[in-house]
Amino acid sequence: MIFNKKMLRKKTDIKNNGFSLIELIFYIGILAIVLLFLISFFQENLILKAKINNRIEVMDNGQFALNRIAWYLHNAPGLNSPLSGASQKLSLNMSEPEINPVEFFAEDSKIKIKLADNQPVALTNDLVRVNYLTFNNLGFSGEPAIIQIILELQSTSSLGKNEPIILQTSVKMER
Amino acid sequence: MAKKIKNGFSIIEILLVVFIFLIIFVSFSYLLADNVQSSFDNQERIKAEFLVREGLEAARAIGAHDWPSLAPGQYGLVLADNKWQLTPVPENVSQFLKQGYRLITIEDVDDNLKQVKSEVVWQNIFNNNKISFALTYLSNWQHFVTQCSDGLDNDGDGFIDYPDDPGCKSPLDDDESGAGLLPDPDYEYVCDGLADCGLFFDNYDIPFCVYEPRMITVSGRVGLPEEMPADLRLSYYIAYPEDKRTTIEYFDLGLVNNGAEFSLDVFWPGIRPADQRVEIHIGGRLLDAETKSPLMSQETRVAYYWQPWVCSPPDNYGQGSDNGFDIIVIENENEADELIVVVKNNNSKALSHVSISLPPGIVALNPQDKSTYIGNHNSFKVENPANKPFYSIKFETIGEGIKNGESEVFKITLPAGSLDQDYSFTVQAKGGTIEGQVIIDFQ
Repeated sequence: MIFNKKMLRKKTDIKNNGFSLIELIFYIGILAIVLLFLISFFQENLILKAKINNRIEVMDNGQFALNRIAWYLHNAPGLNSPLSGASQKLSLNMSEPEINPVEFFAEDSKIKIKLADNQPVALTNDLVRVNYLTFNNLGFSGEPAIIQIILELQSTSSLGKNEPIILQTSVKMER
Repeated sequence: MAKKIKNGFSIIEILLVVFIFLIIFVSFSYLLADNVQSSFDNQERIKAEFLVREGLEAARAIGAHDWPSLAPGQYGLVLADNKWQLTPVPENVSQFLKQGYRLITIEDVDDNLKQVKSEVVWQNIFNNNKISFALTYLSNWQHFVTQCSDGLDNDGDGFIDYPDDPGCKSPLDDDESGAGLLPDPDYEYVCDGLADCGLFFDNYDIPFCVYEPRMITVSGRVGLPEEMPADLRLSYYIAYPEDKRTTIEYFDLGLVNNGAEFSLDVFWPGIRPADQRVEIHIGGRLLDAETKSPLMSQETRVAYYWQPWVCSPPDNYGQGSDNGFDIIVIENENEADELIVVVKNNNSKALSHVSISLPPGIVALNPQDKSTYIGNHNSFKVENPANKPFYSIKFETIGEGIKNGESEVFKITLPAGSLDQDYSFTVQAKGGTIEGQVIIDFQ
């Protein structure tokens, strides 16, 4: 076969600017792994955020309900029940006839307040389930009551592991 | 020779890219972890705060039941026979918080005042120790409250406190079971305050978010059977539940008929920075016109109250005492620049004048020079500004001034912005030869 110098130069001067098939497969593989990793990372992040929001919702509900109960306990002139021991319902004797008595209890997985003969109003929303609400009278005989409130509630969301939260506090009545 | 052109990445470039990628990833991960930690910490802190609050309430209950048991030291809480008790061992609260425990620390301030600290310590999700605590002061209020003014039926005879309990000679009597006024054997209740007779106040118990002392007018009307007049007696006392309460003041308003309207001016003492509650309790009772026996089994009551969880605590508030004068100064920058000064004269000599220093070069807009200022007890001749005893606004009493524990309130309106700068106010009060001077520093 006869080569002239021109032909030889032309063949050896070909510039290899593209990817070979192996390189392309290799890069796509890496890209897929990175994308998979990023998607998984952001997905976990979103799930975690949802879980945190659920917990915040539970704590906000619990905090609001406990503060409301504590406020009435501080201001109530008298206690109807529990006069001793534990009870699922708190009943307070108020001086204003239109809100006497004030009652707190758990019903339909919600904490409810009932003022006089009015319809009960929920203090917690649909995003939270109240497992139990207990009032325990720890007062000394003949002295103003001290009411311990124990509340367990959890999120109604089915997302991930849904642990219940227990809140406990006590309030000493003034009268 | 063949020319070789290399367009791929060098190892340095790859390492650089990987390094940058790692930095970005680690930053994101750190932010995420920090966010999660903050969120969990906040939730744990809310739980801890409820437990801290419970610790203080338990200490209050224990102190009210048995004051000497609040001996100085560190304690845990335990429920024995469904009652709170102090124990030497910190209370384990791990059921609420990881590795959590609650500690109550008691310190003596004086014989009748204790400092109580309720503290909860726990570990967060990264095993870092966290702490939440609250401090309060508890007073031995039973030391100040007698059996005849404590709201309890101490002797079990069905009557509570003076004047209901026949064993009480006065609200200061510390024995409900003693020989007091003997009940009238022919005594019978005409009505019980709920049916056809009683007192009807215009307001129910109301929160009263007013820091400065002032007079409050309480009004209402009388309910009685027709053609049956009765004597009306009103009373009131001021209560600082963590401090003490004043003696009950009685006001006999004389004979009244059905529908008669009544009103009573009572003194709201204002809020001091350390106050935990301030309340005025106003009561009223109808008495038989001839025998003076109560027609109502219980007083009708109404209360004005301030509590820190209802109204925010005061600021820009200062007080001081000198030579029998108690002086309070309040800066009010909410609506207009206003200075409120309360002077209480505990001396037997009547107040002759009060001088309140003004910021340099400032003249009060109200009250004006040579005007007459109407206080809650007296009227005053105003000198604005006055240069003696210092640059001030001066109030000279017209007639017999306040004395023996009476108070007077002075309200001064200043030009806008006068109170923007921190300033020390000097207040001088004089009665006879007795002179009291107090400097209130708002810096």
